[in-house]
Amino acid sequence: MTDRTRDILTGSVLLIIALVWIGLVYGTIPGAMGSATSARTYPLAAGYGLAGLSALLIVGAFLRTSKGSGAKRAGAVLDGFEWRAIATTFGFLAIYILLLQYFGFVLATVVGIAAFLVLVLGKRSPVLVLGYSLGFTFTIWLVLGELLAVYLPRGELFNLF
Amino acid sequence: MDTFIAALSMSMSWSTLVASVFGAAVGLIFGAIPGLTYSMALAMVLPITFTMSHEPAIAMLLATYIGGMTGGAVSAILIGVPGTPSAAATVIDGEHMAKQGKASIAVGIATIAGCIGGILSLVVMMSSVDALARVAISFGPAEITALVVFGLSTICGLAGGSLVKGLIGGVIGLMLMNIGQDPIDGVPRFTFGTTTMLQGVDLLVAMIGLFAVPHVVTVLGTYWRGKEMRIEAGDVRTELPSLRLLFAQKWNLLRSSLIGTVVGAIPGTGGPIAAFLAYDQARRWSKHPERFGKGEVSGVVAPEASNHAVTGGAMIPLIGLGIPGDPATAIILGGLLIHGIQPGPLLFMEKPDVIMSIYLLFVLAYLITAVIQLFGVRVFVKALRVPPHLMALGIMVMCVVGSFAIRNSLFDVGVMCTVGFVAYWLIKGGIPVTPILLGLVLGPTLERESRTALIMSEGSPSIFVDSYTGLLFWGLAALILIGQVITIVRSKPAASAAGKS
Repeated sequence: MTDRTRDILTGSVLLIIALVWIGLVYGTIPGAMGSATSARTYPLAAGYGLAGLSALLIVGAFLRTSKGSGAKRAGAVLDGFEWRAIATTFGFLAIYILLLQYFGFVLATVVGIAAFLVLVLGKRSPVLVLGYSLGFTFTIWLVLGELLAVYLPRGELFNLF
Repeated sequence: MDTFIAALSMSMSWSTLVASVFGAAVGLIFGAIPGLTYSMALAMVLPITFTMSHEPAIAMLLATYIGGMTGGAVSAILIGVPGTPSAAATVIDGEHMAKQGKASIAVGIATIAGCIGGILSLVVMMSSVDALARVAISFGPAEITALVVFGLSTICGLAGGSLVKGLIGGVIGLMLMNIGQDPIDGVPRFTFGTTTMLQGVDLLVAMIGLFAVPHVVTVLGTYWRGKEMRIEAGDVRTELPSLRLLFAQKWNLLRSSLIGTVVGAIPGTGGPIAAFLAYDQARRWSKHPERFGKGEVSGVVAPEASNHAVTGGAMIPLIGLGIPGDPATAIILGGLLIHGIQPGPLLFMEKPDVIMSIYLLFVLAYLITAVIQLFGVRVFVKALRVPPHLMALGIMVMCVVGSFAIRNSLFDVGVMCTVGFVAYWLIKGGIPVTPILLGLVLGPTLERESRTALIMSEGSPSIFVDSYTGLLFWGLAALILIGQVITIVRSKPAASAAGKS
């Protein structure tokens, strides 16, 4: 993907977001009659600002010649590895949040870390898997939860410690 | 002299030393973990001080405050995720220094710069507490709006190659902070009828998502491509900045410390604004502005000296007038009141020895924090020897814990993931991250203060240019914007000529 294509794509997506945002502002946030500002002022200004800037980005990209600076490659390609990284990061975070909600910090973290090491990163060393999952969880639980009294998530179904 | 000796004997005891070490350690831990703030650390240590006499109590509170400010730089440099909003500007060059194998020197110089910035701010505080407190307190919503707009103008310098993309980033940051209850009327915005959305997007939660999640995705992608960069054990040395390096930074240190002190003295502003302003000024005054954002030492020195100087600046209205400028100084004020110390002009007349002991404990807190941090450099940089893909897993867990701890809400963890997802695609689309952060940090203050100003003036915008202070900041912001446009216009022919050749 070239710089030019990327800017047109980014600008178009942002322009759509800005228009939806402006629609939502008008539809859901009440204005204050007779007042200089209201709860609507800043979101609306931001929406129009984003719309204007996105349009400027698109126009700027179209004005660039396809053989000039616009033909430069735009950073690293989104290959299979990158897609895999996106899927595993957000997949792990979603499952971990669910585990935290139902099983609390200790159990969710031990299971989550061990599962990620074995299933996602393909680690097979029991020392690494058990050491990392148990050691890291215990350290966080002890230092933050017990010594520094930071509130750690408690499970709705089951809670260890 | 008698006052000094009396204060010295009050402040220098084993109990104050132990209290300072404990406070600094707690502050450093809370500051270094993204999501945990020094305000939380202060709230945690405050009950511990109830049974103490007032010197160790003040020592513990000040050391926690200062330790928290210092700790933010550690995670900013080592993992590229700022531990506190004040350390956000430190990421820009600190992370690059770590990637270049200069992690220990980056942490070292951040600590020393912070210590110098803090102590310089104390000198300013001691010499001008009364006058500065009165000037700072005269800042109304209109002047703070102008200051924030001046802060936002630094987007021009942080936008990278494209001003439009930088401004898009700033606007997206502002938009994110619009979600939730409106700060003046309490009207729900983009909540879609749910109560959980009413609490809005917390700055720290957004910051964690913005920096940590895209970092984790990139690290895992690099690992699977087989291109993971490992820092060998030999690459990581404990290295402190040389005196020559520090001397070369003298003007940067002085300028950044002054910016931090002045901004810190203005209630409702704080470390992030000061750090970004100092960073931008350091870049503008530098002989090599092109090195900024690529691992330039001055880019670490400026924000760290400035955000630490904020601690001294924040003490000016606190000690001089009894007015706290942020939640952290409000907790310190609470601690002082509990121990029978009522800050304000009367305190200077009635108990000068207490004032002097506060100054001494302030210096002690800085020195102890610096010593702990410098001894910890070796331990901190060892974290870099952990393979990045394994560290990424730990970062994910810590981000979840940190996001949850802010308001004990799993909703915040979801927000962190969503912001991370959006940030990842924005980065892929070429939108720079730092302007988004500036929008996040300054957006709520800009809206709150400007709307308050307009309410005060019954809708007349002339309130923003009524005072010389306001005019000064508007003028500076305009100068920066015009300067940036001129730079872009001048650089276009040069770039096209280079392309043709």
